[in-house]
Amino acid sequence: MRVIATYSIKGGVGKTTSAANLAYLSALHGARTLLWDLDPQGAATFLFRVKPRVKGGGKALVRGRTAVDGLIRGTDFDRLDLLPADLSYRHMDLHLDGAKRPTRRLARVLSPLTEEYDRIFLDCPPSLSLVSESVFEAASVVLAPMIPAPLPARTLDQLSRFLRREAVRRPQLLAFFSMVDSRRKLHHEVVRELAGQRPEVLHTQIPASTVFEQMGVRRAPVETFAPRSAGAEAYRALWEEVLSLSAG
Amino acid sequence: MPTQAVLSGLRAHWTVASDPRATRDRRYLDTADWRVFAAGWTLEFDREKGHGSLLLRDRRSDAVVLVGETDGPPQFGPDLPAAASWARVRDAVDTRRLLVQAQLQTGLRTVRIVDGEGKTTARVVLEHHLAAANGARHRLARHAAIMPVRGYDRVAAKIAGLLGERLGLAAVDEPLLVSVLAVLEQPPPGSRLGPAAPLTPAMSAGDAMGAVMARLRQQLTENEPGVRGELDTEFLHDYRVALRRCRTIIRQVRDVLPAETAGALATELAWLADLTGPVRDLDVHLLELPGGPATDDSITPLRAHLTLRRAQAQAALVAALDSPRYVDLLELWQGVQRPPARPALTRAGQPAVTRAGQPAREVIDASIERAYRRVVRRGRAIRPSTAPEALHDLRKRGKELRYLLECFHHLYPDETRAAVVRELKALQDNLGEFQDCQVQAAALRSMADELLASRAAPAATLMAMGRLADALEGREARARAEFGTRFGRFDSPRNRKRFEELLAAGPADPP
Repeated sequence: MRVIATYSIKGGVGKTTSAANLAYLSALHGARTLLWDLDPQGAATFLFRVKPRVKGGGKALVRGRTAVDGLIRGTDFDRLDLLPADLSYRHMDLHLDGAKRPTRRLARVLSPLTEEYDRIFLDCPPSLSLVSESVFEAASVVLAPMIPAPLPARTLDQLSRFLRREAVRRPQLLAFFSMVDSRRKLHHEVVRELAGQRPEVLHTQIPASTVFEQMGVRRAPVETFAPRSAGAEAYRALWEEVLSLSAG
Repeated sequence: MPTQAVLSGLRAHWTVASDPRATRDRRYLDTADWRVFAAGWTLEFDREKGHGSLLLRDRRSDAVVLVGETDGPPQFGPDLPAAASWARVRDAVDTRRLLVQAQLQTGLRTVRIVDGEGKTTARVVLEHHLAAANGARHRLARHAAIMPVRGYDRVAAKIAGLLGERLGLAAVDEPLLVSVLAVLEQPPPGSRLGPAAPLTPAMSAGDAMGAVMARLRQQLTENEPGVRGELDTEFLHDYRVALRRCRTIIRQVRDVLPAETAGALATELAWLADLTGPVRDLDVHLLELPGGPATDDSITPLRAHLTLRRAQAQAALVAALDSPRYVDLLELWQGVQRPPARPALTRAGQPAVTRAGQPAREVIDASIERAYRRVVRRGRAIRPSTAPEALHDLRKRGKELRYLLECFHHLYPDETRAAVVRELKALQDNLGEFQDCQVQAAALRSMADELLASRAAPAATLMAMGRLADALEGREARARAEFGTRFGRFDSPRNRKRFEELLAAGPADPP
């Protein structure tokens, strides 16, 4: 079982869009896939039309008092299941803080699912907190979307350094540009500065596109309603690149 | 099944959405001896829009367990998806070929039950199936398959209640593949033909012998197409086992078959066995060669040499199977299965002494006891210094005993017989390992001489062959060292008592 986390310190960079589309592609190609929506806003949960509610709340889940098995919901797509968000996740830091070995908690929640799923995606809330540390302990790959704003190299350095120094399991860091607008000069410059220069930055870029806004309306991954769009094509390419670099 | 009634029933209770109608073509794949099914699954290859997919389903619930992509239907284990989750399927298939056991065309109409968010909470798939095998086509009863969505099981349970209680539909509790084979009038999956004919204690020795010989002939002919077509190595293995079993019971169950026919058949079976031997030996050599991507290039010339020799041996075997002599052999075998109405005459014109009319248990008991005593006697005579030939001979005698126990197993109580066979098998495994390693190591060394003389292989190949032979000799020595313990267990007072119980026990219940 591989655990892939989509993570960024900043919000609004395309984490949920990426988690939803990549998890869908993973399932489409035959892998039994679970997406855990860790963000209390529950955007991924909304996208898959599931009610954002976890019986017993996040506290009971991370403290091992609720069995994760009964909380999983099947999505409308074969082999893709969802562990929904819950508003109580906003206090996840506190729940973890009060537990023993807090950074191991998320990995322990997932451990009974090893046989059942080939891949688990974690859609993380934007922050650098105990939750993210716990995510880094559970994940084998951290996928970091970056928007082509100034100083992305610095943000990447910070994350990379953090994973090297603090994360016990040292997950593989793979960063990629998202929301890239090819008409904007700044985007061109920022992308050129990093893409191809750093081994952890992927070649594939996700374009800014209205098709991603449509995901919220259609409440489905782009591949299902606009498979020929540039957005869908970009996610297919990104998924292939991730697979080729991360051994699945 | 009234499709409209199902749809109206569902609409009365839930919001229902329909997917476009679709058709599916699927092929059920399994080995000739149903290894995938025996492991608890069914395997389907579906071709859709130019690409193929493989679905592994739980054989009881029909739920999809694994999905994989593939260009064409896989033929052998290594053609299955490389993902670790498929490893257990690859293990189950082992060296066997995956054959198309049945084909099914399905027209599908999927209706989805959706909640207030537009989320699918259950699916009902209305299916009509057309099954095909060997040119025949048959329609199956229509099905409505309820597909629960995880976390929304209550909806599925309610649908089942609605379809069952209100609409009176009958639940199907067998896998689809079983229904498909039934409609095609084929034996159910997993009904592998054992060596034992369904014997009853009341049978005469002649009838029992005839029934077992008929079963063995059937096993042989069922494996013949696989042997001719070289589908996989197990067909020849099973073909040879049927041959050996038949030769054993002719030799060991005495005075039941007319002596002349038995003698003639034994001669012909020996001829056929001799032709199959070289092919099997070369199969074993090839299977034992290290495989996989990390294979040492140096063994490539050896592999080519073995493959060529196997092709030659196979050609000789197929020529024999095409010969009139083989047709005569099968006819002779069939003739033996029918016990003669009256005893045959000897050359002197006197009725031959025959035990064909005696109760089966009496005659077979005597054969088993004789075979058992022989194994014990010869096993006890083996010392650490005894020549390997004595162990090879003991292995043959052990096989004779085992074949008798297996072919006539319905005459004996299951539990005792199984315990006796288990202990015998442990001994046989040890003797088999010893002999196989010895024969293969010797063959490798003689092939090395051939290759060297014909300058057909570089030094690296000859060295690699030396390493393989060394490894085999190491295994041979270990097997020899273990022999004493294994035989000791077989010859233990406890196991002796089991044999006494087996022969003293009353006849088994009829199968």
